[in-house]
Formats: sequence, C-alpha cells, structure tokens
Amino acid sequence: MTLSESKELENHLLSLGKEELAVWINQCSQGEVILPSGCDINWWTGLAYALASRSRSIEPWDLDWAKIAVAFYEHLNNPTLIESSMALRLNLLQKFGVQEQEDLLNPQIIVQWFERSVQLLPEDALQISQQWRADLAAGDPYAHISNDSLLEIRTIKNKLNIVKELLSIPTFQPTANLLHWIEIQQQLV
Amino acid sequence: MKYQNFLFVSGLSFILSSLQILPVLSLTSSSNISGASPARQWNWVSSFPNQLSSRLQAELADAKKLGVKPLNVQTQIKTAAFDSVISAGTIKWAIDEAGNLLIIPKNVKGSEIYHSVLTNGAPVAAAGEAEMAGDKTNGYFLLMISNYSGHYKPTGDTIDLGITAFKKAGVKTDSAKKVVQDPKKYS
Repeated sequence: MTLSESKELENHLLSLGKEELAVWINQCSQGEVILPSGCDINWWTGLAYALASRSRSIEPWDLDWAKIAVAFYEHLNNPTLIESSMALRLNLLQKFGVQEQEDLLNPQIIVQWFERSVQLLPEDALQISQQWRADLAAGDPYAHISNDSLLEIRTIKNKLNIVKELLSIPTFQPTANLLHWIEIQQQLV
Repeated sequence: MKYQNFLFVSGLSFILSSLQILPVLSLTSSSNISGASPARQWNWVSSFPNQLSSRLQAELADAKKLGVKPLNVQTQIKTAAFDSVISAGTIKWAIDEAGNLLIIPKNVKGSEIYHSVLTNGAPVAAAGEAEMAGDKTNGYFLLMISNYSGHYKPTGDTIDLGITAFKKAGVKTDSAKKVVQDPKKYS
C-alpha cells in the first residue's frame, strides 16, 4: 500500500528537528510551500498535536517544541485550531507562570483572542440566552433566536472555558469586563 | 440456522474488519408494518484507526484525572450528566465499531480532551465535534456538527452518520449547521 502524499509529508515533517521545522512553517506562512492534496484541517490538527506532545513528553516541558506546535496550530487561522492553540498556551502558563517578554507565556495573547472576537455586550448575550430558554420552554426555540445567534453565544462560552482558567495563575490581573464575562458564563446557552 | 447465520456474519465482520471496512447496525432501521421488532439492516462503512496512538496512555490518564468518562448518547440521554456535558460547551463525538454514539466534553478545566478517550483508542466509524443545547425537560437541539478530528481524520461523508445517530437518540437536528472537513477541498 502506498502512502498518500499528505501522509508522506507528515512523516517527513515529523522526522525533522526543531530548526528545520521552524524554517518549514515559516516558508509555509510566506506561501513558499506547495502542499499536496489531503492537507486539510484534520491534517494540521494531527501534526500540531504531535508536535505539542513532544513539548510535553519530558520534564521540564520544552518551550521550543511548544513554539513550533503553536505555529502549526495557528497557521491556517482556523477557529478550531486556534482554540487548541490557546488551550496549549494556557497549559504552558499553568506550568511556567507569566513571563510577559515571552510571547508563549503572555496571558494577554489569550485575553486578546477572546476580546477581539466578541461582538456582543455581556448583557446582550445574556438576553439572547434568556429569550432562547423562554422560547424553548414554550415549545418554539427558534421563534426569535436563530441557530447562528446561538452559535455566536456558544463560541463566547467556549472561549471563556479557557479564559477563566487564567484566574488560577498568580499575577494575572483580569479587567472588570473580563471578570463580568466570566461571572455570567454559566448563564449563557 | 440462526447459529449458522451468526457464524457467517461474525466471520464476515472479522474479514472486513481486517480490511478496515465495518458493518455497523443501521442507524436508520425502522419498524416493520406490523409494528414488530425493527429489522436489522447493515450499512457498510469505513473504519478510521487512531493515527496518533503513541500518546494514548497519557491521554487516557489525563482524562481520568479530570474525571472524564464517555457518555453513550443512546442510553444516557436525559440524564443530569448528559445535560451537564452538552451545556458546558463543545462536545467531541464518535460512533464506535458497535454503532454506539459516544460523547465527551472538548475542554475540561482548560485542558483539551482527545477523541481517543471516546473508544480507548479503538477505531471509529465516524467522529467529530458538535454543539448541542437544550435539556431533558424541553428536548435537545443539535446546533453544529463537524468531522474535526486530528486523531481519526474521518472523511466528510461520515458527518451524516453522526446526524442520523443523534436524531435516532432523540436530538432534533433540523437546524444543525454542518461543517465538513474534506481533504479533497485542499488539493
């Protein structure tokens, strides 16, 4: 059985060292690499996860491998992959603590990821959630709130699952707005 | 005669399993006209092995440490545990080789839980992520379903298996947004 080109590329990349991989992902970001068919989001997810695993395979965790894993997770700018990247960043912060001069250990990267994407005020998100629950109880859940609106609320809630864990990191100072979001998270759909 | 049929099906399953093609109980089987027990139908589907198995034991240990146990949607829907998992955020789902629809939360305490936890690393017929809302009193609604899984890399056509399985378990799927990852689109 012959391997697909994407699987061959995956095996090749996983055989490379840190420096070579860093060069490859940089060239990829510059559009200098032509990828074979099959390099979809699941391909990137698997590859990034394998690299993240290397960073955590021995104590102390290897920040260089983690940096490469983050670069792979964030290459496509896909929301699902970015969320995995932020979860990895959080795990690194929980392990090493805050070092703001180090991009990988700067909690503001996670905070900005949350704040940049939120288009609603907390009160609006709450109102949508309450309306949907009222409509649900009345037997017509989509009477006023669309599926897309529910998914927007759910995206906020999912991001808060990561953001709220920053509170456990010593020296992290949340803004009042962020605290307000965290307080209402459980009331969101 | 029944025993012979059993041997035939078991033998066939073994041969096809080795080829990574599995018979799974039809998720769309329906009762016959007389209302007697539903006729079993077999759908022939691909099986997807765990492609990131080297860290399986650590993944299972991490999930155990966080108290994560897969829920069988068919048997555990309308329980407090089910309501808690679906309302917490994104879920990961898979259909195992026996046709069971299983779910886990995607994130617990900021840590990602991986698809391998759903079947202890065993191959799956379909897998992905989903968003669901609702509760045992008012019913459940599938908001989004995808075939995202870096561990199993299921093909895009398997999403329909997931939708059918959720529907059969009593989840309303009519408004669900389908997010399909298909390698062919990235050629």
